[in-house]
Formats: sequence, structure tokens, C-alpha cells
Amino acid sequence: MDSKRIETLVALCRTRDKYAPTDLWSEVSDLVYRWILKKFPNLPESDAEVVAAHAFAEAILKLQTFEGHSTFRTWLCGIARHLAVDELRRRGVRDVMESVETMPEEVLFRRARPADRRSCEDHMNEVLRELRLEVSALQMEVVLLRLRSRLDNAEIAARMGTTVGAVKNLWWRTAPRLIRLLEVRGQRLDLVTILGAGH
Amino acid sequence: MTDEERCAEALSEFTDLLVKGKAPSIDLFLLEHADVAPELRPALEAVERMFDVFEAARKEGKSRGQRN
Repeated sequence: MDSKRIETLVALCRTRDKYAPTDLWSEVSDLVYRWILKKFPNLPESDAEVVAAHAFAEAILKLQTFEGHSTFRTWLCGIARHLAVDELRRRGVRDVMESVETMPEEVLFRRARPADRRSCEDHMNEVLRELRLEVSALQMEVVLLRLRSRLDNAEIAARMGTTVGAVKNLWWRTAPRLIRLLEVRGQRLDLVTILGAGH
Repeated sequence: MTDEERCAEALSEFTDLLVKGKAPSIDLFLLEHADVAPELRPALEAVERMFDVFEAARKEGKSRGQRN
């Protein structure tokens, strides 16, 4: 972990550099993921991943409001904290366990996973987890039937017990969420598809 | 038909073509839908990239299956 590099990438993100958000995410994703897991022991690991990604997306969208009174990592963890509490409450967890333990960053990074070892399938599942937070259950069903099962409109309509027009409408209304998701994940997904094409 | 309905129709048509492996380039496709092109382009780009992610995962799964 290189604090200077993170601050440089944050500055680049502010200038809307096309590649900086992807690089920044590679630098901080493990930190925020591990921080959430330590801080909220009753949040499942898969949800911690989703919260980490969501927090990063929020941070990038709100970057112009980041005044630099703390480090970017501290600010990001603050956003993640709010999202983790919201997620636990949404799940009906009454007593949100929050550890007060402070964690030196070198401890958090000791067991960091190499991001580039993750498979295309991991990335797809990550995208789906993030998307699930953004769209309705019906929209999610259309996404899965459209992209994973590769069904056409008529088949999806029959499966969902609705009309072809309704399916088209749901698919169109999902598009802005896809656009937003891809804006944040951007270049990283390009890399995944390039690597995937080699199989 | 409203602009939104036209966009929904066009996005579905493009997705069908992607799934069938017959999708033209986005620029070419938009020539047929010039009246809604500004609204449609980002949606087509997003769907195309999402499709690529799913396709990469599918190919990876297939290749893993062949190796096992």
C-alpha cells in the first residue's frame, strides 16, 4: 500500500481521469473490505464485499465534496461504516455489533488477496452483487435471464408471467443502473473481458 | 410511440442481436435509430460491456469444464 500513490490517484480522479478510479479501487478495495469485516463481525463476507464496492462508488460520485481533512482511506471507511450499518438494519439485525478495535493498516494488508488472480466469474458475480443493490428484484431477474441464461424477450415474458412489452420496459429502465455501475468499474471490466477473450 | 418506448424497443433488439452473435457496431446500429441516438448510445454501450463480462465468465467456465 502506498499512501502517496493513493493521494495521487484521488487527485487524478478529481480531474475525471478515465483510468484513475480503477487503479484507485485496486489500491483500496482490500483495505476497506477488511476494515468492514473487522468492524462489523456480524456482516457476512459476501455483503462486506458489496458494501466495500458500494462505498467506493459513493466516494467517487461524491469526490468533489471530499475536502481532504482526513486521508481518503479514512473518508472511504466512514462511508463504508454508514452503508454497513444501513445494510445490517435492512436485514433486520437489531444489535449492530461494531468493534471499537483500531487496526493498523499494515495488519489489514497482511493477508491481502492479489486482485489479478480473480477470475472472470468472480468479476461477474461481483458485478451482479453490486447490481442487486441498485435494481428491483424484477429488473434483476431480467438481467439474469437476458445475460446469463441468454433468453429472448418472449421467453423471459413467458418465464416471468408478463408481457414482452413489460420485459422491454424493465430492461430499458435497468440501463441507467448498468451505466452507473460501469462508470465506476470502467476499465477494470475491460481488462476482465480482454483476459476472458484469451480462454 | 414515445421516445422512451422507442429506446426500450431498440435496446431489446440490440440485446437480442448480441445474444445471437449478430450485433452490428453501435455506430452502425444507431444509424437506424438516429432520432433517439443520444439517449440510446450509453445504454447500448453498457449492455454491450455487461454482455462481454458475462461472455468472458461463460468462456472461462467452459474452458475449466474442458480441462476437468
